[in-house]
Amino acid sequence: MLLATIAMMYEMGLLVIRDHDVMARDLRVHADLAALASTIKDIETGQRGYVITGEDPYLEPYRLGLKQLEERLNAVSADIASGIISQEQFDEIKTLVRQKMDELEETIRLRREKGLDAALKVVHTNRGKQLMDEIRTQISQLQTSAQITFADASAHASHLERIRTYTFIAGGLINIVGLIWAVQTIRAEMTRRERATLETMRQHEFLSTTLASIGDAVILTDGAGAITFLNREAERLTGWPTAEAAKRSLPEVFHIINEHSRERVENPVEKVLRLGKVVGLANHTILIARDGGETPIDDSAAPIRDHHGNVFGTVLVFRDFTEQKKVQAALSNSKVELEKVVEERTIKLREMVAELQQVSYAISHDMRAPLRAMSGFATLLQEESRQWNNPATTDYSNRIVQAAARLDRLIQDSLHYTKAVLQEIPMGPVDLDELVRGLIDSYPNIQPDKADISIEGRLPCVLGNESLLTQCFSNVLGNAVKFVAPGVRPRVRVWAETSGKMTTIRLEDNGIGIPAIAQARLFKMFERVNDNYEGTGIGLAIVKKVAERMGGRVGVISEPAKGSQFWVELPLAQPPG
Amino acid sequence: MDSLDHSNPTILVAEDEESDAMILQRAFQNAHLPFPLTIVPDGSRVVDYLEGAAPYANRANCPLPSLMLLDLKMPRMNGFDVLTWLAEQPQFKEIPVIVFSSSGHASDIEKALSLGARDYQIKPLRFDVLVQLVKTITDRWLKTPHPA
Repeated sequence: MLLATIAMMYEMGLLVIRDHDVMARDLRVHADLAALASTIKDIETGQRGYVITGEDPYLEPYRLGLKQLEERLNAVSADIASGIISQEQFDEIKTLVRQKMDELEETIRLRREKGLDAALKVVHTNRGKQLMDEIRTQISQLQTSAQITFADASAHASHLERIRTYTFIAGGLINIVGLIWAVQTIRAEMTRRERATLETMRQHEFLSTTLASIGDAVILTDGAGAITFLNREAERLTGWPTAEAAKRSLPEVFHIINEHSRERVENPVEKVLRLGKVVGLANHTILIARDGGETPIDDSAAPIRDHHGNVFGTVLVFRDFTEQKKVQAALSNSKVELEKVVEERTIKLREMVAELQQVSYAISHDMRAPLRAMSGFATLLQEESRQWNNPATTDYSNRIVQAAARLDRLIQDSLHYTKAVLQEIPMGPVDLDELVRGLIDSYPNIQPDKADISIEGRLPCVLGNESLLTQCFSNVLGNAVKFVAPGVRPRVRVWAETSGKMTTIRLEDNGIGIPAIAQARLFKMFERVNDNYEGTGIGLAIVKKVAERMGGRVGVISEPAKGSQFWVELPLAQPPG
Repeated sequence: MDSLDHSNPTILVAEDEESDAMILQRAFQNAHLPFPLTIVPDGSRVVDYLEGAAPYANRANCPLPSLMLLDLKMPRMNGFDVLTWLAEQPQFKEIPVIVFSSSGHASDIEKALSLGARDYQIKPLRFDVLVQLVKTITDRWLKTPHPA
């Protein structure tokens, strides 16, 4: 803008100067013409004076004028270049001047030689006056055209001056506005840059502070692997202050060895620079500090890239692993301890189970021996007492036999229960259909002559232990036929309902039913719901235990006088699908 | 083998429990079985008896048995020990040995049979059942005619 204004002003200046040149030239032309006219007039004046007086001194201006005339003509001739006077015009004027000069010289000669009248005769021809008028007209015409071009140039120059002034003012104003805008812009930009610089400094400080205060040790290197920075933790662990470590190669400062082999571990930064990717340190690495102190560490190194992706440095982060190592050691110790404790307890438990099994063996063997004696001798006593014919003795010995039988059943059932709880049970597929039908054939209480037992459909194969399942179902079936009202023939319906991986065997009877309140304790040890029926209160506890050990459940749906439906849920040997 | 007297065969019973022995004798009596029962209190006496060692040196009083009822749980040599010893005595392999025990453990039954017992009976609680049982046993193991 400014340049445009200046260029325009300069251009206009040039134009004005040219106009002024034109004007000066016009003035000069005008003056030259005037001088020529004046000189001719002087020459004529001298001639007239001489002609009239005949006195020589009057010729003085004539002579002086003639001397100047050539000079004056030359000046006008030079003005031909201005374009105001053409060569033809000049030649015409020059011819006229020569003719005039000839006429003047003729008259002067005649005056001197033939006297006043001869001269006057020539004068009276009026030829001299005609020439003079013509010269004046010519010169005057030229002067007028010089004046006209002068006036044109002057007007043009003024016009240009005006334009120049306007341009100057307008350009100045525009430039001032532009300048103000520029100043504002520059000031705003400076403020922005100042802020950005401050922000950068703040960020730099923030990052430095963060890096310095970070709990992990951080070492930065340049693209060649030379150290540029260590944070406080890194300084602490290596024993090298940043000032001293800077520019050194990493291995000099970061001396790491393998915990077990004590051999130097590969410089991770070198590896990062070589591979261009994040590198984790192998386990069991020990950092040897400047003073020889050792710290177990774990670390990783990563490349630092600019936004073009070029690696220009690396960042190495590592951590004092001492505490973790202690914790790990403690953890692993406690794990070992725990395993030991578990092992010890397991052994103890096994021993206990073995002892319990021995106890149960002893019970089955040793406790039943005296019982057999009681029962046997009571029977013998009974036989003997018949001879004495004493009904009381018979009754008593009878009661002894019955009590012994009851105790024997309790012992037997307890043993079965213990077996269901303690025995290691090998599991395998058991064909329930075969098992339950076998029970019906072989167990005396559920023979067809005593009860109607119907199996609907085919019972599935389950995953379990055959001997325990036999016990389980003989107990449930035994119960179903046992608990009927006097005189009622037991009827039991058995079927299976399979769902997913489990099957539920349901046994529905026409027995006396179980009151809701008693159902909850039905499956508990030694619980007998109805005293009118023989039993130890262990049978259903065994059923429950067996089902649970096989991953199943048991339950009952019952109402007094409406029969009961016992159900046993067991896992299928081969789940469908 | 010198003299297995099948006309009036002796039954050798190894039983440490006196009551059991008495009741067993009474059961034989009630079953009207005329076989003489020789009862010894433990396994080592069984060995002595069979070998004719003192106090069983006299074969006239202590003839070789035609049947043995062997309890398992006994002091010194138990039933299994006796079965193990017998397995190495081919001269007695003709004598059937019936284990007569309180134990109903499957492992005991299996072990006894594998060691050569001909049968395994659990001692019943009830006397009437016992009477039936001794009848069955003698029927099964003594009434079978042996070549003289």
